[in-house]
This record gives sequence, structure tokens and C-alpha cells, in this order.
Amino acid sequence: MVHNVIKKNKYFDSVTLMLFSSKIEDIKGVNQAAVMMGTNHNKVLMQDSGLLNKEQAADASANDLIIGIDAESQEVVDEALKLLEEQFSNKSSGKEAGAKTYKTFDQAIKETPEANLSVVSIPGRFAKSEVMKSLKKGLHVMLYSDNVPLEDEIALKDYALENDLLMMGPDCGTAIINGVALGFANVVSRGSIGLTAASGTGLQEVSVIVDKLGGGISQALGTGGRDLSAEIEGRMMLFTLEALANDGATEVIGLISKPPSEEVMKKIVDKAKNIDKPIVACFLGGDPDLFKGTDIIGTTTLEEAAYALVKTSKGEKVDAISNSPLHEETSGLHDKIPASNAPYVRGLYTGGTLAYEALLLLHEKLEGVYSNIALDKKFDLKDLTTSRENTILDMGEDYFTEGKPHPMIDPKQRAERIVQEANDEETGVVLLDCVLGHGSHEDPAASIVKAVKEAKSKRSDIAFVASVTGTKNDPQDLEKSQQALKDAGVFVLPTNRQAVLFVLEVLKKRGVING
Amino acid sequence: MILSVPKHFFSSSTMHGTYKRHSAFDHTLNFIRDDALISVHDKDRTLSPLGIRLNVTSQEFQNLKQSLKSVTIDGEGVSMGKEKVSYQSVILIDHDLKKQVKTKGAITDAMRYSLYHETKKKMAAYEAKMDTLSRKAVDARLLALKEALSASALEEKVLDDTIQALIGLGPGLTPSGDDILAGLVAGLLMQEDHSLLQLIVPMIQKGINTPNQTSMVSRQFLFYATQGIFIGEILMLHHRLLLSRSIDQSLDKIASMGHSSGVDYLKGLTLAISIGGINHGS
Repeated sequence: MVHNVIKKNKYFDSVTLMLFSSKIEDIKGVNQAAVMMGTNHNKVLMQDSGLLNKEQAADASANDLIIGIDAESQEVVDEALKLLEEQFSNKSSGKEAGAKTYKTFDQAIKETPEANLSVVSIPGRFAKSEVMKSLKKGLHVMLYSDNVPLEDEIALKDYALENDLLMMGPDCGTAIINGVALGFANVVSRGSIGLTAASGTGLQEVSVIVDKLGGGISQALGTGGRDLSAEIEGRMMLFTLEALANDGATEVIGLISKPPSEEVMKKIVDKAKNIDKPIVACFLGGDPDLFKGTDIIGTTTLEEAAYALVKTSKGEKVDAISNSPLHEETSGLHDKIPASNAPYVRGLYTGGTLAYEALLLLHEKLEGVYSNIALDKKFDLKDLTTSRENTILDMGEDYFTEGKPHPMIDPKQRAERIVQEANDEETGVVLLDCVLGHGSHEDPAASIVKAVKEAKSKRSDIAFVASVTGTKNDPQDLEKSQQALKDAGVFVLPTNRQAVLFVLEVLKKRGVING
Repeated sequence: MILSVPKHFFSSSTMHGTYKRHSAFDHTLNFIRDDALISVHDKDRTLSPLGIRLNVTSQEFQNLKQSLKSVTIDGEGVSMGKEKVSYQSVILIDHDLKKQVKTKGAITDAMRYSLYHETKKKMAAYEAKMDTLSRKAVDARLLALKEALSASALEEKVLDDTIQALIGLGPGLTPSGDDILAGLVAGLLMQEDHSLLQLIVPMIQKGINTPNQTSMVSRQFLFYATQGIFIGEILMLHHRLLLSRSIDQSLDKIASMGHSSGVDYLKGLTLAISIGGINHGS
């Protein structure tokens, strides 16, 4: 059934309308939905798509907003309309309770003189002047934007360093400062472990595992993805290292990044020599021998880094990861692995660093893994609409986010891809992440469950494997998310590393790779 | 309190009269008189041919919004509530690209080339945000327009159909199709491609005069585009091209307008350059 609502003289920007449509479509029982201005052509478009009744179309003018919902029952329509009204009233009030909005930076700083940090998210090309305004007012900065010119990043970081200020970013999406989560971040326990990272979901995964292992985070600082490049020379990583060394609440320091350039590595090691707190480093894909002859504890995966951090913070010796309380014996799951002749793994990730970690772990055992973030150019996936052999996709990369929200915010695109992969008879395993926390979608597990159920209705032989990056205090509820996935027949492992290793076990059991 | 007024508000007597309050948004109040619409903005808004800018912050604007019920424009000035200002005492913004081209000149082949390629690059960086349903429809009709304009023997009926099919199509208060057409007109004007303009402008005018073809705000923007009147960023782009200055920031400003409007404008602009400047006119 199709239900329409006409809102007279009502207008919201197109991204808001897109999110409204998407939220409604996520409701079980909604077949499709659209929210558009009632121009003649839009009315025809909605009518042709079965989203607008002829009688209702006559009532809408070009200045009215038309809501079209095609749902299975009146109850579903009522639920969708209720959700929509909530969204409308949130947007109309323009703010959350207690929050104030300001049109200009000057006005904001005038009325909140106690603020000492600003979060900047504007097109990268314009970021420099706005960030500089903040720095000149003595504010630390978290710069969410990407596409910031290299020379701007250097200039901003140099100014920040001269003035003893943090300049986290560009492209910094995650931080936890004095217990306050900024951007995409999880609700973790406070504690003595200080993190600095050039990676967003890497920081989330480590902080979450630390929390699960009973440790706590003092500060989690982002540096921006390019910070450890030869051009930026690790400016912010070196500064945050020193900041954590001087932070009274921090007793152990963790560094998370892809491998730095050789010169930057040398600078980090030199800096570390003068810090009398233990340091654990995880340079994903880097040579673990990088730290030989130094006091830095080198690790190769995010889980191992978190485990080493917690052990060190408790004054205990770091032992094998298999001794971790999070280590899950998977032998009991083997009977449940469905038999299949389909040989390939398809990894569909919303978190970039998690995808990268999966790629590294699979690359060791499989002959080559195609990806949009391939380790070897030979395995660049040219056509991102179709997976090839073993494929890992970072669905937060530009191709997938052009004109669409990031999949951690709106998981619809990833859900569609899960179903698409199931239609490929060569898909034997689907590997997934599910990132909870502030900033993420309100129920990413539900989106996976819906897609997996649809996929399983066509293919019962695919093994779905996932890990949930979240804590019990996250707004989405870790336990509920994990249980929903398990109930849908997904193999749920405690960490991304263990999920990938389980995928290899599935392939071994099926004889795709040697034991 | 009034900071600036578009110059054409005073120069065209068809604009004169009293406008009644129509709709209110966060930073804008719209007023209408018959089918014409004008807007009143706070001082942080960019220059628009529809808009009177007030010397108030967005916060102050929230209080004012309640009290402003009508705006009157005549040949001498603007009256708003108790305030009346003569046009000599406010900043007059000239939005007329046609006049600017006439006095400063059309862009050269080298400028066309540079504009085309830099705009293409920019569009790749700022993809318009749109739902799938609208994107498919807009892309298909843009392609049809491109084919109609590129045909070796241009068929007026086909061209008219493709233009009518775009007006009012897509999401937002100024639908994507309208923004594309406004960009197309701006691009043709910058190149002084009068033969195509003479064909296209009446077609657009016919479309916007069809009831409910597009929203009132967009109708007004498109009407102005057919008169050669454009937003400040388009004028600045033309100005910088002629001075051989970098157009990177101008393109950024256009591309980041709204959530799909700016990129759609650029789609129209590149279409005009590819037809009028690269394949057709030179």
C-alpha cells in the first residue's frame, strides 16, 4: 500500500531528505520511500515509481513537500510517519536539547569563552583559514575535513606546535579527550592508557578492546591520516607523544598507524628514548623488527596492541595473544560452518583501518586479495561495482561515499552489497565489521541482519563472519547487536583479527586452503 | 539595518510593489507579490539576486523574523516595517552578467578550455548529493539535453522537450534540473553564444510559466537567469577568468553551494562550454 503526506510550504535540504528516505526504508515492511518537492516532474517520477497516488498528487504544489511511503501494512506506515515526525521536529528545532548553534565562529567564541577546543568540518580547501582562526584564539583543533592541501596541513601544524596546541587532522574522525568522545568514538572506561593514532577505526578498535579487557583510556588523540608521511614528518604524532608523556593520567602510551616513513620512524624512536613511560606500537603492515633494540613494544594487529597495552598498564609481562581472555576457542563453531564449493571471501567493511587489517591478515594466506585499498597494485579492483575472486572493500572510500553518507552513518549501501555478493555463486564467505559508538548509525547490526536474512534465503551455503567494534556502554548496545547477528546465523567473533582468522579456518575446513 | 539590495529591484518597475510574507527558513524570509518572490537574509548569506541582506547576525535575525510582515519596493527605496531606506543609502549589488560580458568581454578559447577542465576536476571532488531515484532521472535527462544540443542538425522540438523535462526535476528547493539550466545559460552568456541563447531562453521561460513546473524560489532564480542575472559567485568566476586569475576558489564556492545546487550549476556550465566553446562555437 502507498501512503502520502503533503507538507505545505515545507523545505529541507536534499541530504536531510535523503536521510529521511533512507531511515524510513530501513523500517521492516517498508518497500520504498521518497521525500521530494512537489514539482510536476517530481510528481511524475514518484507516480512512476509507485510512490504517489494520483489523488494526492493533485493536492501538492511545487512549493510543498511530498512524502511517499510504500509499505506492507497500515501499522508500518504509522511507524514510518511517527519516525518522520520525530525527524521533522528535530530538524525544525535545529538542535539537540541544551545545544546552541552559532552562524559564525566569532559569535561562538564570544558566547562560549570557556571553550578550548574546536571541531572543524568544512570543505578541505577552505579549512586553513577557519582552523587558523581557532588556533589564533588559543583553541586546540580537531579537523574532520579531508582534501586539505599538504602545504596547508604543514602550516597549520607548525603554528599549532609553536603555540603548544593540538592540531588533530586533517581527516581526523575519532578522538576521546578527557572522557569526551568526539566524532566516531565509543563509550570506553577511563583509565591509564593514552593513545595516539593516525587511523580512525584503528583507534576505535584498540580502545574498545582495551575496555573489554578491563583497561581504560586516559586520552585518545588523532593525528590525521597523512601525519606519518615523509612530507608531514610526524609533526602531530611526535607532539601527541610528548603530550601523553606529560599527561598525569597516562601511564602507558599506544601508537597506532600504518608504517611511517623511514625518517619519521627514526624520529619516533628518538622521541621514545626520552619518555619514561612504556610505549606499545602497532604500525599495521610494518615490519615487527622495526623496534628491535628499542624499548618500544611492537605489535602487528590492533588486538595484539590492545592486549599489550592492558597487560603493561597492569604491570604484567606481555605474553602470547592466545592467553587473552578475549581469545575465543572456535573449534566449537566448526560444526556449524556450512559446506560450500564457493571458494572466495568477500570482505565488506565500513571502517577503513579494519579493512586494511583484514587485507593484511588474508594476504598472508591467500594468493592475492583484490581491493580498493590493495597492498599490491596488481590487485587493484578496477570495477568497484563487482567483486573479483577474494575481495576486501573499504566502503568508506570516495567511490562509495560520493553523494552518499558514510556507511558507518547510513549502512544501506553495504547492506545492498551483502545481498549482491550472495547472488555471486563464487562467494563462499562474507566478512563484515559492525562499528558502534557515537557518530555511527543507531543500529548497524539491524541493517546487517536484514541483508543476511535476504542473502540466506537465496544461498544457505555462505558463511557470514563479523566482529562488533563496540562496548556495553555504547548507545547501540553491544550485547543486543551481537545477539541479533548470532540469531541471524552470523559467526560473531570478539575482534576483527579473530574474525579474519576464523575466515581462514572456514577456508581450511572447506579445503580451499591448506591446513 | 538594510545592508545591500540587488540593483535590479529599483531599475525594473515590474519589481515595484508590496510583497507579503510567504515562508520562513533559518536564515531567510521569503515575500511574494503575485508570482514574484524576494528574500530577506541575515548578513552571513552570500549575494543572491533574490535577496535583501540585513546588517544583523543570524541570532538577531531570529527575533526579527517574527515582526517582518511585508516589504515594499518602489523607484526610491525599500520599506520594511518601520524602516524605509532610499537606494542611495544602501549598497546596490549589480547581478547582471549580461552587462558584465558586454563591458568586460566574453571569455576566450583558452579561458574556455581552462574553465572546462578545471570545472570537470572540481565536479569530481564535489559530487552532488542526491537519492538514487532522482539521480537516475536527472542524469538521463541531462544526457538527453546534451545529445539534443550536440546534434549536427539541431532540432528545436527535441531541444524544447529535453529542456521542459529538466525544469523542476530533482530534490531541493531549487531542483537539480533548474540549476543545470541556470548554469547552461550562464556558460552560454560568458561565451556570447547568442544563437543558442535565443533558442533556449524562450524555452526556459515557457517552462517556468507553466503552473507547478517548479518551486517559486527556483522559478525566480531561473527567471533571473534568463534575464542574465546571476548569483555573485558566477559573476566573480567570469571576472577572474577575464583577468587570468586562478578560478579554483570561485569554483569551490560554486560547487559547495547547497547540497546539490552548486554541482548542478557546474554541470550546466560545462555543458555550455562543451557545446558552445569546444565542439560548437570554435
